[in-house]
Amino acid sequence: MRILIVEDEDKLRGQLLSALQDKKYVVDVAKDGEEALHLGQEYDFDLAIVDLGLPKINGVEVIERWRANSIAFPIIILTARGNWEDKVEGLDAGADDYLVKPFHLEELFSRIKALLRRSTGHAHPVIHFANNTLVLDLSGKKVSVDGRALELTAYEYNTLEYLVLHRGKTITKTALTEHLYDQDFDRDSNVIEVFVGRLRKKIDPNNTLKPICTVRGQGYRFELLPDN
Amino acid sequence: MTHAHFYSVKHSILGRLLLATLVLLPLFCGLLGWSLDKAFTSSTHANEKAKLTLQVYSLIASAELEQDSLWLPEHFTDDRLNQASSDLFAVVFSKDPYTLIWRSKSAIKLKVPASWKATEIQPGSAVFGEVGNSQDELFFLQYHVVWEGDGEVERSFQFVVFERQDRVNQQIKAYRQTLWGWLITIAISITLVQVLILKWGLKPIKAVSDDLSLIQQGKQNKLHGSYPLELEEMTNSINTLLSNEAEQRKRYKKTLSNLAHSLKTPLAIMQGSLKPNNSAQNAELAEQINRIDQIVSYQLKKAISVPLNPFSNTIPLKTNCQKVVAALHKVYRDKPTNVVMDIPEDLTFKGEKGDLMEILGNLIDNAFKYGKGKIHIEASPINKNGLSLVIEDNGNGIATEYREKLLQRGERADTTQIGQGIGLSVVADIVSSYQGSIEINQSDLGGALVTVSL
Repeated sequence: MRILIVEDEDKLRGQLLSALQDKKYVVDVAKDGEEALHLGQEYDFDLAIVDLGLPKINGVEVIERWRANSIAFPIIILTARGNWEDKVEGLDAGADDYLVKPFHLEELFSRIKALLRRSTGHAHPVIHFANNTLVLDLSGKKVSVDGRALELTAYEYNTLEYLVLHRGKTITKTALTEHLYDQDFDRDSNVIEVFVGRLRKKIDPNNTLKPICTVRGQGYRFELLPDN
Repeated sequence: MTHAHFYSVKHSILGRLLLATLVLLPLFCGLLGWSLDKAFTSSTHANEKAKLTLQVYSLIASAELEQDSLWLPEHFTDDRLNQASSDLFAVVFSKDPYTLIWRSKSAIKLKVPASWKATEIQPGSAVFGEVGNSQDELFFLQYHVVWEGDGEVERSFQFVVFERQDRVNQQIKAYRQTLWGWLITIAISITLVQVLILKWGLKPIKAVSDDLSLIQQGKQNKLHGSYPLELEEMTNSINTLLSNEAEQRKRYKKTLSNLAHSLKTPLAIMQGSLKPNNSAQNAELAEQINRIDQIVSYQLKKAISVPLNPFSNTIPLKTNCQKVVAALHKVYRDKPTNVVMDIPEDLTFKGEKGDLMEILGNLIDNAFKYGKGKIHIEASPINKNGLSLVIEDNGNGIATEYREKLLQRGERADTTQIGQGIGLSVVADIVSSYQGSIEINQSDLGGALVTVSL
């Protein structure tokens, strides 16, 4: 999952960056409204965290301009004053949730997870596939097959989560790379293929479910329908 | 005059000017009428004196002294002296002793009024005057003539001509009727014209007042009209005052915003620096950060609420309520909630938009947070500019013992939900700065019912 952090205060930006990277999110940062506007329009993020008090262009205007350009990723606003006029203005401009400074990082993580889940149309954090054969718990970041918990690496889990949350859509290897791995990741490597190969073996050892199909020359697609 | 009338005259420039006109105009018309009446009466009397003098001269001219006796003709050219019932008669007295020696035919029925006494005057001079009672008023002219009789003996005669005043009085009466008729007509016309002139003259003041009331209603932010020179300085000053006030308010808000940003961001950094190792030191630090945060949040939110300004805008309640509800539907997307809103379209809140949003945000957020999917928001106007706002939900409600405490700073009944616990107390502070009231009760829906009167 690729997240954009827009915060002018260096230390807070750095903290958020490392905290989210620790959670295996791919993170980009912007230190003012102008940079945020540019990054949001140029790259395909899964979520943005935007401070309202930004230099150059304020947070509300950034959000308004993104939304006017049909940029639909979910947005969490960070507000210092926490007054309702600002919150409502931010939410009205197109944000999806807010956090008042100072906040607990756990609170931010849970809001991020909820928003990512909601943005992909899943009301519940636990998603069941193939009559409960495959279960993905988005909040606990756990996967089980036939009631047995799977041991997945963070990258493997993130790959599966991204494919599940974009079910039915073909995800290119480049998109997967951009959304799942840090910028210094070697994009020419066949690591993605290795991860997908390993994932297939772990979640479908007998090759009966065939949850991830390869679209030749394009990428991968998660095919299973959720149980409800 | 009733108290209300007195109040309106005292407090209205138009009323004051009209009152002054109504006092001054009759006084002026009265004095004018009186002086014109005086002038006309004295001119009539002078005219009468002249006429009677001519009569006396004519009598003297026709009189002859023969053998010490005065002779006057039987017949006069002025027929009124010949007719018994005319309004003019003449008499002649001899002096030493005073004896009536002649009277005109017209004086046969008429008598010299008992109240009349001949005046001692120099020969060749005349006295003009009025005599008689209210039924029979007369003008008279007495003329003293000295003739030299036989043996160069001087004989004195008093020629007196009397004329009834009826005809002159009729003339004066007719004149007075015409005069006062016109004066009253002129006074009424002047009053009516004066009302129109005053209204026209005071129109710019009314325009200023209308403009000010538009500003109070939030329909404009300065005086737009083109005003006369006399008012221009005042209206320019008001506009400067208004724009300074707005600028100051904006600056104040911005300063608070910057202050919040510069205080809260370091707190967020401190919070983020705490390692999740659950050490006692961390817990202590976290508690202190939380305390500072609560104090800063409470004081900043309190500082936003400023005393009521007469030029505060009027903020539409329903649209803002809808905005808050729409925003909260987003935040609580995982908790489907049915919100029923019963707010008149034209109901407005007179005050700062930030204060209204703070009241609505905190109360509706609580209803979303603690309710179980049903919220009812109702508002109605009270008094002239006030409103009553009721927000209720179908949650568990608030226990009676907590209700008072919750309206105090930093109190919260439930610690299982995230929040700073200052929402209701901030609302209570804002409400009290508007001299309003807030009350927590049990709703028929099952949860809390908060009533705010502003």
